Amino acid sequence: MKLIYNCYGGSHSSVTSAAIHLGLLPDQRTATKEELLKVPYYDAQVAQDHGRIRFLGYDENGHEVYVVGRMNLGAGYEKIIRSLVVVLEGRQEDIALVDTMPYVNIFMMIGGYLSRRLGFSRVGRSIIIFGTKLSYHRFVRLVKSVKARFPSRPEKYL
Amino acid sequence: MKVVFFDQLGCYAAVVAAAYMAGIIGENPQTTEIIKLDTFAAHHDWSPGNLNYIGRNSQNEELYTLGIGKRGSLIAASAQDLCKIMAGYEEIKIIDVSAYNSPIIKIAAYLKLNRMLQRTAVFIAAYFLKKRMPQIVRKVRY
Repeated sequence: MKLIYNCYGGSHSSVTSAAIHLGLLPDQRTATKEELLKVPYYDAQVAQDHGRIRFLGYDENGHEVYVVGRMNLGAGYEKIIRSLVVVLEGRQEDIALVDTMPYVNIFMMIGGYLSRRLGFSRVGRSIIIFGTKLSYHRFVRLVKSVKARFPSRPEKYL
Repeated sequence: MKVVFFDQLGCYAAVVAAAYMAGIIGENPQTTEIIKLDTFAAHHDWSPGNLNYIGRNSQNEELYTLGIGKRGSLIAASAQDLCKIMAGYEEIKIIDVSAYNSPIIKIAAYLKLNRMLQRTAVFIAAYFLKKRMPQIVRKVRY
């Protein structure tokens, strides 16, 4: 199973959620600034990376976890990806797209814009980290619901 | 191998390019031939993701059209990565023809949603795509 966490830039909310999913970030407490900055791709994607589906790792159930920045395509992105899966003759149930945008707060948006779009990474990053910490428990809740939905590796993979 | 033609709604330049590749229309089609294509201007809203099967080309490759909205390069990148992720499944080749939908065609696509103007809008879109045919042919060939 391939779990694709997606958000606008593929830099913050999707990466944070994917990292919580993989155990790279704690799910019992809010992650520290240092822990967040250590996560691969956190606040690192640039405009050219939009649309690139990045592999972050395997979770404890053997699911592959990816992140992607889909800009403002919203639900249309999932529809397009599912159409491509049809063309590829893949199984729709092998892919799950998880939208992390509903859990993004205004600080993450402003920080992300300053850091990624305008290049003011120092100022932007501190605002993003503040915003990420503010929404952290919501990302944890999201990840828990995703894990509950896709509990174990389907038998066909074993 | 399957070939997927992208444009904003998947039913304008993408349909014409796929139909040309499938041999349904020639290099210099009449406007009416374009209008008669099954999925030409067959959109009912602005939502992307509409997939249509057009036919097969001389190499027996299946040809599809897909509406991808305004983010062609983003979807092209995702499609490439998706192919890698889904390794073992079919291979796909992506041809983005969004650029051949000129502003007039986009206006026609907008007018097409108005019942009263549907026929005129489809005719305008087909006429201006016919004018773009040499460029579309070049893109499809290479």
